[in-house]
Amino acid sequence: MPNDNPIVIIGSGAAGGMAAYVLTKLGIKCVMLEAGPLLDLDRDRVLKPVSELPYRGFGRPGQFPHVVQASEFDANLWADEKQNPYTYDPGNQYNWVRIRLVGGKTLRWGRASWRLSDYEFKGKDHDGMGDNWPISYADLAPFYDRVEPIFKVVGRKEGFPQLPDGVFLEDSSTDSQSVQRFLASAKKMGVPTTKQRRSTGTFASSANLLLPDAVATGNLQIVTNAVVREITKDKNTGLVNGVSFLNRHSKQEYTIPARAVIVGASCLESTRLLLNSGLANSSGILGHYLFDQIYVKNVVTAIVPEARGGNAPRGLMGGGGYIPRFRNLQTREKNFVRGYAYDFGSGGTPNPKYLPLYGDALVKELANLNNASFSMTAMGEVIPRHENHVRIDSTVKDEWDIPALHITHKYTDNEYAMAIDAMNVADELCHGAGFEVIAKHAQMVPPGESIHELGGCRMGADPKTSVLNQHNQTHDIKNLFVTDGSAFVSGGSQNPTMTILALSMRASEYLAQEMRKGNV
Amino acid sequence: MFSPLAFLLLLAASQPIPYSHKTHLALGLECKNCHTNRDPGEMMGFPVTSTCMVCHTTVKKDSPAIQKLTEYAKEQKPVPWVRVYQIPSYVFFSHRAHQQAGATCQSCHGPVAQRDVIVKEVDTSMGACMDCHRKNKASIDCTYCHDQRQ
Repeated sequence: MPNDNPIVIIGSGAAGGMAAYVLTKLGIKCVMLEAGPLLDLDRDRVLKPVSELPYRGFGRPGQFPHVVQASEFDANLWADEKQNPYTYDPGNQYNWVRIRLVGGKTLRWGRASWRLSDYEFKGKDHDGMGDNWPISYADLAPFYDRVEPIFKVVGRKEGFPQLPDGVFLEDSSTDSQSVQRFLASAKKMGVPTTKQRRSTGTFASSANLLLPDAVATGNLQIVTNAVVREITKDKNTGLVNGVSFLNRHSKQEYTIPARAVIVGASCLESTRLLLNSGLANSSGILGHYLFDQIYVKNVVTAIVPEARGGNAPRGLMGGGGYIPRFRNLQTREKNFVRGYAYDFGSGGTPNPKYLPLYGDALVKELANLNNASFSMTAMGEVIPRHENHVRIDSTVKDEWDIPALHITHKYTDNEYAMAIDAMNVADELCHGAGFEVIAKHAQMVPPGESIHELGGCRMGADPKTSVLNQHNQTHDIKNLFVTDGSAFVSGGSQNPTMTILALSMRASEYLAQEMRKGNV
Repeated sequence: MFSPLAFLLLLAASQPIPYSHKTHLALGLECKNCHTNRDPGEMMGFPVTSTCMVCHTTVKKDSPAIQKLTEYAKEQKPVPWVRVYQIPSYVFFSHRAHQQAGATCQSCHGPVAQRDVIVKEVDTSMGACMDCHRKNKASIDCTYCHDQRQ
């Protein structure tokens, strides 16, 4: 008897949004469960003066202790940590940043739109570290090609093997003089540079680029405020057969039958859901090999001397760019493996914490350095390790009585050595450009703060060492897919969103194909 | 059936005095005659009431609208014009920099010289800004228009 139940998609961000976009266009009925509400832009995006905020900009205590990106101005955006608690090992802080709204974290991403390369997909072949993905760059390239035009990615083609080119709207803008000086310094040192590659538009979100098209097909129903508790399994067939969820407000529980389930609830939420559901873990690997990318924010803060006095001549300041990974590409050349990238930007005023002044003297100096700053942020690869993992902490439950996650994640000597190298190279690059370096450091932000958490349900060719196969389908259950960042086997130093979108597109088309064949 | 412009007119902000750009520009005035660009060049200004009175002391002085204008002038109060185009405070924007780069008033404000009533008929969202920057080979880097992330 044919199964007429819908595909249930959990999550509405990059992964869930792309799954809905692909499947509904292929004529497949889908129901999307999103834990949060639909954003009303006219109502929810109004910028209020600080005097109208209940806590005058300082925020409600305890609401976002780990979300450094949050402020009281945008407090309606982030998942409240009192409602959504989690735990971590003492002394090993993990900053878990969540958005529970239709569109997920694509409502507030940095839009950096990079591809991974075979330096990531086949990293183990290159240097013997970590594991290979079960796919290569050639498998995913056609999907990147289709994702980039949807997100109107602007960039400049360079031919870097470690940072494949894509289908870009061409960025042929000229650089400011300060950036030109920096680029010349980089060239002299043999460090590659390029323009940023970014998705453009007023919004570049699942909420405006993917979901409206999916809804327009008539094949998508979005259920908002649906907090998923469990994915259920048919004991006879071994297949998943539905999803239990609670209304966010009433806490009333509902169930929905499913022909197949696509989990795209974000790296850690998807892993948590599978752990809480007791599914897809015959390998014992579920929750393990969690990783992210190290971030050293403002690894160097410099001043462009000619811009002092707050009167930088037109054309001197502004703009920025990107330095892709350049370490350990050919041979192992440093005291660490893999490498790091930089964002760099010209303009703005340096953070007051880098100035050894206070009071009037500080105010005067900030005016003097207005629009004179040049800063760099380093982003480095973290090798996934079995010991970095999440598990269910049954002693802590969220607002809906669902057991919370306990996160164990530490950086190692490899990451610390990488951060120090990134600091020294940044310092040298800025000096080479004639900038005055006023501060440099190698202090990484806590794990999670980059919001590039990856792994936990990793893909792999071997069901004994991975959760998902090469199509993001669980090895254990053929009608259960996970298409978000939890599927990553490694992540390089590139921002992961384009890869999540491409993986979800590829997996969704595979699911449709399997449905046509009658395999799902 | 409404045309898109007719629909926008329905949403147009009510101004304190019915002012026609079409009528005034047809007389040979230019945008910069009334909207001056003072240093450092970010903002375009609104005219002081006395500028209007250079002509309206005699021209149409009996119309109710001009009488209202005359009252503002006598009290040395600015006319409380309602702004039609506004850019959020977290965006750096300079009219002067755009003019120097070759943008015209019409680029962002539409065919003002043909309009009796000004409505927001040109998209000035971030997406529109980025499209225009890219087409004109201007930077689309975040820090070009927004404060550097700290």
